[in-house]
Amino acid sequence: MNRTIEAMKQVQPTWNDDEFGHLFVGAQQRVKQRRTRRKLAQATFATTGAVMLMVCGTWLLRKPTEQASQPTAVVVQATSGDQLLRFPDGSSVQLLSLNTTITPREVSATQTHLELVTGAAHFEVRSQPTIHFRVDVGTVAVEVLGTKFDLERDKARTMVRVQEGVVWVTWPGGVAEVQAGQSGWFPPVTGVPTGKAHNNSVAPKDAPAAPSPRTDWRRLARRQDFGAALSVLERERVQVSDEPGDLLLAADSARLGGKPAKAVPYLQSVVRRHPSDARAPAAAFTLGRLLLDTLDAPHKAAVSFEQAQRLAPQGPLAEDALFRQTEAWLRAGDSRRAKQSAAEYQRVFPKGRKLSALRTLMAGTP
Amino acid sequence: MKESVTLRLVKPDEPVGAAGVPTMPVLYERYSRYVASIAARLLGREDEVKDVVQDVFVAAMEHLDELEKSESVKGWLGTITVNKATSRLRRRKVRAIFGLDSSVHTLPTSPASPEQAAYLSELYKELDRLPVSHRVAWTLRYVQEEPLEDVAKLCDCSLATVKRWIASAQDAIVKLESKQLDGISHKPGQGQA
Repeated sequence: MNRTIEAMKQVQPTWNDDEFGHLFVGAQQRVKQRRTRRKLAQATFATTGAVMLMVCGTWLLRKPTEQASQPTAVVVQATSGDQLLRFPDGSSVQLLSLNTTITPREVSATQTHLELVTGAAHFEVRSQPTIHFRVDVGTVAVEVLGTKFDLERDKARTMVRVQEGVVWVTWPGGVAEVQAGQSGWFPPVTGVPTGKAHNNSVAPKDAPAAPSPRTDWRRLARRQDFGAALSVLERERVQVSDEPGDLLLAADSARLGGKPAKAVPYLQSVVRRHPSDARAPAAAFTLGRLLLDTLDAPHKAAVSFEQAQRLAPQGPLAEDALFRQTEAWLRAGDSRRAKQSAAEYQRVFPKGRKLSALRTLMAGTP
Repeated sequence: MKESVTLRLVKPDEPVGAAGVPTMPVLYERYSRYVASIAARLLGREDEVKDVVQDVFVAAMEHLDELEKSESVKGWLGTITVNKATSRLRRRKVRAIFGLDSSVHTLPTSPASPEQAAYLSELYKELDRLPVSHRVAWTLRYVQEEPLEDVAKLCDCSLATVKRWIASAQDAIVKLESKQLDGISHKPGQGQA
């Protein structure tokens, strides 16, 4: 045993200092190589990761586009009177009042299903046999295939007004076909027998059976042929109904048809008789503009702008109404009221977009 | 491995690390022969000893922060050396099973006599037949003169196990010695070693 142990103890490297030195240099080189390889691997890993992230990102960004036809719960709400919703098939919905809320229930390759929650809207549906267009309004469902029509919700009932084509209106206990030029409230007050309604195209009892002069001027106005619409109104001596939609349409016909002064009573009717209607602030503002810019009646204009601002102090027209009210009072020579409305503007809209214009306006005021 | 605290005068130009641990060139100068000695006795092949020395100091360079925390730099390097050598011995065994271990035995030393060279060659062949763990444990215990507790730690096993391994290796070596003695005694004109 001892011999073996002693023999093994003799086993010692007989390298000189140079050989040990070479080994150390070799070790240092290996460390450098390893570090380089590690950095290269990290760079490769980072690059691969970045590429994968880009690929995943692209895929994720593409995914919502692919799922665009899936049911959606997006609530679209009007922020101005002329907001327009467009659908992929070319159909469109124009929101007619500020309080209009439309919820898309399903928008797919085969079906467009909307719900009119509040307000009024004008629908233009492209005729496509493969797409079923349906609007639910409370208990009423309106199904169409290529048509133009208006819907207006008023608590439990819905006004359906068809300009082109045909719509099918269904409600619990009845169904009715409403043709171009016809309109009516649904469900009808008297109702329509269910069995008969399903077998025949039955217009509701309170819907007119045929187009009337009144609907004619509406149709012309909707086509933006305001001059012709105004002519019909004057020629036929049409008594415009006391309904905000009709009054505003008549006002537009007069204002844009070349006789702005005739628009004043229609707009005043909306403001005075329907102040709680969502369209009343816009009517008051339009009246103010008409009086100030066209009819040179700044005092009355200031009052109208004041009404517009009072009817919807948080509304989208409030800031403009206050500014133009100041302008109108100045033009009317009432600097005291002008200062009051200017101060009100600065208080309510301290960072308003018309602040500098207001300061310029008030600069020469004593 | 008995570790003793040694106070040493540091030369003015000798680089010293942040924690008072000498920098790598100094460590290499101080411990490279120690590392080479363990590797040589465990492996018995010069080419592999050089590789292991490099492997140990590459590991030391890459884990210098751990080295600075280590209270016993020598013990730390010794552990790495034993681990690296053990790995090589295991690889050598696997290669031998598949007939791939064709490298020539070159002892990492210059033996005193041809007889001693022949004996060492036979001894390492015999050690190659032993389980790696047994061989390493016996070498550390009797050649490196490590305490049993340290051998158990280095071999990562219990004290009882390491004792059993050492005894097993010792039996094989005693048999080898007997065989060698018999061979020598049958040769005319040669005395007993």
